[in-house]
Amino acid sequence: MIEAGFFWITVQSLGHWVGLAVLTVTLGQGLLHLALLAVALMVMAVRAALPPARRLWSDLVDIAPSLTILVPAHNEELTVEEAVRALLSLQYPDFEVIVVNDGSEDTTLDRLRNRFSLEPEPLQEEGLLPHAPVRAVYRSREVPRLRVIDKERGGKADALNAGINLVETELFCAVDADSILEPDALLRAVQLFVEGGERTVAVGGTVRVANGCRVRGGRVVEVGLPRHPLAILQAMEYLRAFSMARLALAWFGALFIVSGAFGIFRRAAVVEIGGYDTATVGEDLELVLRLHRTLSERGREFEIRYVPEPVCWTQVPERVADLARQRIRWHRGALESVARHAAMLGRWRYRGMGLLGLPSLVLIDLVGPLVEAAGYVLMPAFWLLDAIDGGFLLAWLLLTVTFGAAISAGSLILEELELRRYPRVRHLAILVAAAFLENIGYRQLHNLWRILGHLHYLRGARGWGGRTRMAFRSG
Amino acid sequence: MSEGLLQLLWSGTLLLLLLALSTALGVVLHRLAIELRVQPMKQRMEAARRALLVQLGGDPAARLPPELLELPMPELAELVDDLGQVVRGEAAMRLCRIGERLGLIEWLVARARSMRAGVRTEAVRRLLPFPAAEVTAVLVERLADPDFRVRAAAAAGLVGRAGQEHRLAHAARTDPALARPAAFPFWLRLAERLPERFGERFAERRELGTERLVLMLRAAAEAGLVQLAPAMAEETRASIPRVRLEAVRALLDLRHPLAFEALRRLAGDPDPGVRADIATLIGRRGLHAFASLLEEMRDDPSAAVRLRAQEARLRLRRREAPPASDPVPADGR
Repeated sequence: MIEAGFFWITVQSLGHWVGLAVLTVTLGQGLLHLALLAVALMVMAVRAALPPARRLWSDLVDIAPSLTILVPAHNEELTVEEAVRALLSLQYPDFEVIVVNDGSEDTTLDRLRNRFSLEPEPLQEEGLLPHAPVRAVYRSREVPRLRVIDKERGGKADALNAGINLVETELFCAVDADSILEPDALLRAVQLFVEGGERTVAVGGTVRVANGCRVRGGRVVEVGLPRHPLAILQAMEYLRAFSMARLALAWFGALFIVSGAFGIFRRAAVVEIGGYDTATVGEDLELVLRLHRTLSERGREFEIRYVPEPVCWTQVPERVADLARQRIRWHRGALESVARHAAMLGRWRYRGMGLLGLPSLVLIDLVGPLVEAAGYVLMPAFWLLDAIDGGFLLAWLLLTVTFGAAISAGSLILEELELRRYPRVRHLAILVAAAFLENIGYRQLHNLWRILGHLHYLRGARGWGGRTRMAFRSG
Repeated sequence: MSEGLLQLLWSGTLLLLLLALSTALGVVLHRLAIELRVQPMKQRMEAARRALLVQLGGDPAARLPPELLELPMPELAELVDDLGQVVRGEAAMRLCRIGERLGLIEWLVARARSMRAGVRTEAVRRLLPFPAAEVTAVLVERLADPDFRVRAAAAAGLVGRAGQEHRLAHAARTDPALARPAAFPFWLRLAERLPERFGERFAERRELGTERLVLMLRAAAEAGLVQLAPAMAEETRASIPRVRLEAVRALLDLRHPLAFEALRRLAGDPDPGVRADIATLIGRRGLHAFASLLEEMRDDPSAAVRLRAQEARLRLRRREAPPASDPVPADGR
């Protein structure tokens, strides 16, 4: 009798504390998001008006540093021609394109060879960054600004390192082969390097979902929303992630990621820190964290910036299995990177990154979702055991969903005020609906993938896993 | 769980939900309003553009057409700015007079004093073509702006305006905004419009610091100030590697014979970064007469230099014959 009583008291007490802990993390996560949203709105309000592309060209044509676009490609036969054609037609005074064929098993290399009349060049013997063996280097007879490196499979980071070795320009831009840059994207991003001078080491732009957009001649000619519900939810997710968090974090000098789909870097800084890390699947996150860490430790003045206008359109998975693989990989990559650079957490020495960037990454992307997932299991269990109030459980569930919806709706303000890439009211209405609906089902699924990401990390999983490629919707 | 906490939780959640719903609704309504406004505005802009072009070709003192008078100021400013990028000479002056008559200057002056640095920068840039005294006054005022972009734009706008030389000389020497790459338009305007004043600043280059010197070297080359070539050649011996490189680049841009001696010397520079960049420069500019330098770089102690020299050799090989624009004489001297 006494034992049963003790058990119930323990359960009651445990339920009380678990409920409070889950609520605290939910509130912390949500309030941090809202604070970031407020900062992002403030940044948008005070920043410079956007010059039109022609004005930007005349401002930058004489002073923009030359740049190389690096395109790592593995089994990208469906999109690679169109993507390269689009890259070659970008508005920028002086740039080259290097495609790194990372051991593709499909016809990626053949397509490039035929379409751009590639001719082999003598192999270079050495490079500053290590990478898997290069089989051949080609240059296009038609477009001498295009080079293709054919190398053995080593992963995306390895391909980028091979490309960086061949880069001879001050800046390089890493772009995914299934992505399309808007024509003035390079100008808009490089403007920050010109303004900031040598201290600017990296600039990230916005990535948006290309599914549903009409593409002609390698350019997005009509922006649209995807038809597939999963892709619509991702469109909302990308919009939130890019317009809100990155803008605010960059303002604090705490930007922890420059997307692998589109980012521009100062080559010397990346070479100085040893290039991309091939041992992680979150190479974009890890590179930026290492830039922060190494340059701070060396006492260097530097900045890593984000600008919303240069938009890169990318294909997102439309199959649950593909999306699950991608998200599990991203989460594993985040864990690997955070574990490697945990020493920066809370340290004044690393300024914005140590005090805000890394803590917010840990709270929002690593701890928060796990606690939330635990809450979905434990809170109803404690309610069934009468350890917490039904009203409390309901209020917590509603709070979780409401925070998510409020943050997404707030991100739509940013989209509406500045980018306005989705042209129709209908698009916006669908995104508004997605902002609310993503919190019921998709959010929970996402939490599950994050738990799986944790497990993969703890198991020491390696590799990227496959995914289904899609062609762009032609116009 | 206490009643009070639960009550607070519910209230907060409902408030947040209300906020989310109203935000979402507001965003959609805002877009709807824009969509209803955009199409007619496009047509009005087009009509105004046509009217402006007619006005530019006709009598500038003639009565202004209603298409222009009725256009909202932001659109009018955009239109004038857009056209200002392409018209030159007399047409540019007429455009300024029309803008002035439409009240554009007052509007831009007010924006040049906005709380938002971005708005101030854009307004100051758009004010540059207007020669009016009140524009000069506001540009002078903006030289003390807290934002470096505004100061750089104001300084560029003051170049060539009467009575501003002393003030500009002071800013050119002391304002850190004019040492940033964003200030290149200032240095270029100075080099193009007031080459003598530019020359005076160039003579003081040692005191002005590396950043300003680099900008001045680029501007001098862009403006074709051949008379500064000997001074540029001196800079190819500067202690800072970046300056040595910029100086040789500027000399090459000017197609000046002094470039060739400097190029040869810098191919053996003690700094491997300079040697590597010289190799790239030879390859990129197709300087066939210097191919022998690239051969010598085969044995360079720095791997990066050997790599870049190899790249440059490949580039040269791809060019079957020196291009017509090759500034280097056949014997490389």
